[in-house]
Parts: sequence; structure tokens; C-alpha cells
Amino acid sequence: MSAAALLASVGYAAAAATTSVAFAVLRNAPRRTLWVCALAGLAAWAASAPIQYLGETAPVFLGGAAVTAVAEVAAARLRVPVLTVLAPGILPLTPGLLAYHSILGLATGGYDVAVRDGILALFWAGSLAAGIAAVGLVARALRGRRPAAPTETGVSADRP
Amino acid sequence: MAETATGGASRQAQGPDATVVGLVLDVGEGLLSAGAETERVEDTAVRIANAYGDRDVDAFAVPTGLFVSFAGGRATGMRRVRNRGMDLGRLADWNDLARRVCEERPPAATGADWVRQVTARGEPYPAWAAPVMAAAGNAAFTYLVGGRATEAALAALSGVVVQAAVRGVGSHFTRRFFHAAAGGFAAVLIAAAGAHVLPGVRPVMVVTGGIVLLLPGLALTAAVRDMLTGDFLAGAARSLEALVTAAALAAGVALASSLLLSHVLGGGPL
Repeated sequence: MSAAALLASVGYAAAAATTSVAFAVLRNAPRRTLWVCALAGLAAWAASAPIQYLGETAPVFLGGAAVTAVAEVAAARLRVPVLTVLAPGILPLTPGLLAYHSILGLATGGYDVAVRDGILALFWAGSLAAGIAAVGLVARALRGRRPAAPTETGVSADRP
Repeated sequence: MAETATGGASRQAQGPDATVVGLVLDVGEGLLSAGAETERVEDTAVRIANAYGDRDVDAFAVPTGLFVSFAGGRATGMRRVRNRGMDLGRLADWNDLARRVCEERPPAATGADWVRQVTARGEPYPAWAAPVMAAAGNAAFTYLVGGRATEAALAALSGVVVQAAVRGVGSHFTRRFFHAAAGGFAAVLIAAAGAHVLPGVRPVMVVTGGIVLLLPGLALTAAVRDMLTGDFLAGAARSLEALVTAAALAAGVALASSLLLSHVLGGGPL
């Protein structure tokens, strides 16, 4: 990899992380999770960018899977809900350009573009969802159903 | 609170403590209004009731409401959730509270105090953080999809404008709908104006960066996670929410585009 290409990669990675952190702050994410959100955004880009020549669906699937893996591990470590990291993390993977082209097509009578890009955006979102679901299922299986918190049977609530 | 005596000798027949019922419903409502997955809400409700010695609990949650049956059905609590936003900080706060209640099992009145503390908690970030982060996020995403520096700067500008305009819009869904529409509208106006003034600016890049933070990413993610746990009712509801938000955004974009195409841009493609 040439120096220029490497520099560009670092730039894109930083941009992906920035997008995630920005969304996290706008949605009031806890401060202690912000660096993990950056990591999740980075993972989204790092997993999807190298295989972009494969088209849309495969890179996005892999990106979604990588973000979910980061989010599941971080959520268990930091004791926060998975959504706090997952939602900001997938933001760099959203099909913004396609969705916009589709909307624009509808607004201006370019229905062929609208339908084509709309369907592509749907496929894109679908493979993102599949990536999230795949790793989510594995995480659930690994975690198992934890037993409820132990209590002595028959103890009623303390009354004020 | 309905309490019915059963024929059995055990004095379990006494219904659950009203304070515990209130605590379970408050925490459940808090989680739902912050955008939690419904399975998490049901699980949390059962755990808290378990922690207070009620082993026979069942919970049913949908994104807009929560039902919990205590002590084998001797009492049922219901809470309608009207104000729903997507607030990751509150989500974590309510999650922490639930965990603390289950671990420490404080007197239910203390739990109610904790609920009041979480409810009263203010915004975690200063007011300037929203426009600044919106600018940074929009610019970064524009760069990510292949935008140039000028396009990124215009996207940042539209982030500042949109955030400054909607600060304090609140979480009511109707208002969020208009927030998305206004955001899409503003992004296109700024993109068109920028392209008109600055040579070489592609409006499509500016708009893409300008609307990325308004996309219903959280609703969509929560929808996927709801369906993942087999909760198709909540998943469908949230998918619809994501779709409606996206439609609002699209409406704003489409309105501005169709207004501008003929007048400012002379019919050329954006």
C-alpha cells in the first residue's frame, strides 16, 4: 500500500469514527461509551472498505457483523445496553447516497432511478440487518439465558 | 390494586406491594421511552419483581405500553408509554438503576427515590455540543462517501443550522416527524445555495452528509434486535417508525428539490 493510500485510509477511518461519535453525542450516549462508539464506527469501516469491490451487500453485511461484535463485547464489559454502542456504530454503513438518489428520483419524475436505487438501498439495509442479526444470535447463544437474580423465597418487599 | 383471597392456607394470597408494582412500571416505562428493546423491558420487569420476592411474574411489553402481572395474576399493572424518544443516556441510566435494584434490593420507597433521581437528571452534554457534533458528523460522513472539502463544509453548516433550529424540539413523535422533514428541507436548500455560489460543489454530496444524522438508525437497529428475539410485534412497530421517519425526511428533501430544480438550478439534475 502506498503512503498516499495509507493516509487516505486513516482519513476515512477517522471520518467513520467521527460520524459514530457525533450520532452518539446527539443521542445523549453516556460519556464513558463514546470511545467505544468511535471504535464501533472504525470497525464498520475497516470491515467493509477492503472488500468494497464485491458490491454493496457483502461489505455491508460484514461491517454490520463487525459493529455488532464490538457492541456486544463492549456492552458486557461496560455494563450498558448493546444499543448504546450498536446504533451509533452502524451509522457509517447507512445507504445515504442511494436513499437520497431514490428520493430525488421520486421528486423529479426519474422513476427508473428511484426504483433502482430504492431497491438497492433496501438490499443494503437488509444485509446490514442480517449482519447485526447473525452476530447478535451468536452472542445470545454464548451468553445463554441467565437465571434470575437469587432471592430467598417467600421474602416479601420491605414496607416503608 | 386488586387483591383476591385464594382458598389455600398460605398467606401468599396477599397481593404484591403497591410500591413494588409502581417501581417495576416506572423502570419499564423509563426503558421503553428511551427506546429499549421490548425483550429487555420484559426481562427487567420480571427481574425486579423477582428481587422483591415475587417469583410468579409475567410481563408483556410493546413499544407503546407495558403490562405486568404480579403474584400469579393477583395484581396487574399497566403503563401506557406516550413520550418516546431515542435517548441512549437515559437507556443506560434506567439499565443501571434496574441492575442496582436487583443487586441491592433496597426498600421499595428507596427505589422510588432512585427513579425520581433518574427522571430529574439533566442533559449530559452542554448545549453547544449538539451543533458542533452535528457539524463534525455531517462533514465526516460527506468525506466518507467521497465528498470534497467544500462539500463537507457545507454539510457541516447544514448540521449546525438543523441542530440549532431543533434544540428543544422534544421527543414527541409528531414533532420528531417535522424535525426530520425540516432537516431534509434545510439540507437541500443549503446544498443548492452552496452549489450556486461555489463552483464544483455537487449538491448530492452535501445533502447526503446533511441528512445522515437524521436517518432513523436507532429505530432500525432496535427493530432488527426486536425481531431477532422473535418479538415481531415490536419489530414491526419499530420498522414502521423507522419508515415513517425516513418518509418525513424524504418529504422535506423532495419538497425542497422540486421547488429548486426549476427555479435555481434551471432544471439540471441535483
